[in-house]
Amino acid sequence: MELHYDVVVVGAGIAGPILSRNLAKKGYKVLMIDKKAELGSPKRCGEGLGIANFKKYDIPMDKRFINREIYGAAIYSPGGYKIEIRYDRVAGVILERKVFDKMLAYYAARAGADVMAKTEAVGLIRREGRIAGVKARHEGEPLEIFADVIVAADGVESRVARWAGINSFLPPHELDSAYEYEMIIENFEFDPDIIHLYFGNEVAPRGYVWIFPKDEDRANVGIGINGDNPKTAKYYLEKWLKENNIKGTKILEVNVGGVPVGGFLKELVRDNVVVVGDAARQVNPMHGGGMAEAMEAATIASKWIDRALSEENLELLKGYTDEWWAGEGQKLLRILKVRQISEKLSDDELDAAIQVLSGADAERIAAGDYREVFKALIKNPKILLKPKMLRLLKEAL
Amino acid sequence: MKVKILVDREKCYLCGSCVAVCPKEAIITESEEWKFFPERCIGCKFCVLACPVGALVAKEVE
Ligand SMILES: Cc1cc2nc3c(=O)[nH]c(=O)nc-3n(C[C@H](O)[C@H](O)[C@H](O)COP(=O)(O)OP(=O)(O)OC[C@H]3O[C@@H](n4cnc5c(N)ncnc54)[C@H](O)[C@@H]3O)c2cc1C
Ligand code: SF4
Ligand code: SF4
Repeated sequence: MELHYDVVVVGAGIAGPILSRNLAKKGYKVLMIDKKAELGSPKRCGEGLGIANFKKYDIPMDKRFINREIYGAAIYSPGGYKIEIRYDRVAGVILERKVFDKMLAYYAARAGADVMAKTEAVGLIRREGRIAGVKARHEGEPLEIFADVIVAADGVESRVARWAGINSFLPPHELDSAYEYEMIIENFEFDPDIIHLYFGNEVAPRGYVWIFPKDEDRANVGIGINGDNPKTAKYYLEKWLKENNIKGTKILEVNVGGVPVGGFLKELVRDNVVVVGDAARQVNPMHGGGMAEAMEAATIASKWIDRALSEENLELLKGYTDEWWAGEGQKLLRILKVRQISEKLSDDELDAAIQVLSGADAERIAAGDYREVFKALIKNPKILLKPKMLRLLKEAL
Repeated sequence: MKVKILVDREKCYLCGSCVAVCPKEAIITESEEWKFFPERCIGCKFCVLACPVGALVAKEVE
């Protein structure tokens, strides 16, 4: 079968539906496909999203995909020290991604986009040396989808960008290998109104263990570790649960995935192929959150696709690369620098840092605004930093 | 040394981590299947390291 659209979007996670909705609203003929039979399932996510994103990206706060409101975060060092950040208003939510992704696709469809689940992109169509669309398969039946613009929103396992000649290979060190249980937590104290992050070189090398509460007693309990670690993420999560006497006897889901944390794609556009979200490695490298970043990239990309199509000049697509790199890209590079330093902290240094940092400091560091905080750390007499760490901090200033 | 990457299908969640770290597109995850293309593999074993559950092993051939 042969189909014709202005834009074909591969992947209906977060970036795909936001981009499809925005362009459908502008009147373009959009088709979004996903290989999943059930959009949003299985989830590969801790499901935490900051509250500001709903308004910023025009997403309704529908109860059907909001499990729990969250009022802050607690960060724990290996020695048991803690920073707590708590607000008197809602700071974020723990979603139900299975419903969220599907509803985002519904909003795109309601705006006029066509959506096809269980439809897998298997290659590009090339005509006269140009990329003319996407070859796909639905229940084994071949499909040819012709379009002026092709969007790769196909997540961490993205192949569309590579087909277009963009090298989106991610070295294993730039991937967080992640494993998560959605489970009932018994006999372990945690405040279900905030998220909990546990750091330590033995706890979670390079990453952290998280508890994202979905109920008073039910939570996503997961871990991310450096993707070049010889041990598995599963090994470290099992170890942490055991050490904390948390029984894994009430497990509702097992979630497995990789999070790109550093290899942001330089080339976001090649010819008429546009790459967004995890496929473009657009994830916050400090906490591994990628939903907000995917929404931001989709918003910028849809703006430039609109311009390119309305002015009939596909060269304008590159405006997305430039705009993203000038703003978000620079911010994420600063955050990457912080992560590259923090991943070298010894457990003692982590303990010391968490003892002296305030919640506000932690938030500033996580946002990539670290200069003043680092300066204060270097001067703090209570912290004994190893010469190597001192040098790294000074270099970052 | 040439290697062959073997998957334990019972363990594999088709999460795509191995696909992302493969420099040669020697692995793909389709909606229901993990696929390996031995002729493209350069034996770096990045995929084995990155798998969150340890579903992959590299077997040395010849
Ligand atoms: C364990 C874990 C926990 C996480 N926790 C959080 C968190 O708490 N908060 C947060 O913000 N982020 C979190 N993230 C990251 C977040 O899940 C991703 O950054 C986000 O989903 C990226 O959105 P996306 O649209 O780019 O890709 P995805 O949501 O991955 O969507 C890509 C879609 O493309 C489809 N697809 C792929 N290939 C094809 C093909 N060939 N043809 C058709 N369809 C295809 C897939 O089926 C998928 O539906 C977590 C990630 C993991 C692994
Ligand atoms: S990384 Fe492991 S679980 Fe994920 S697709 Fe590859 S083999 Fe399967
Ligand atoms: S060993 Fe390297 S080249 Fe071979 S499949 Fe694994 S990641 Fe790809």
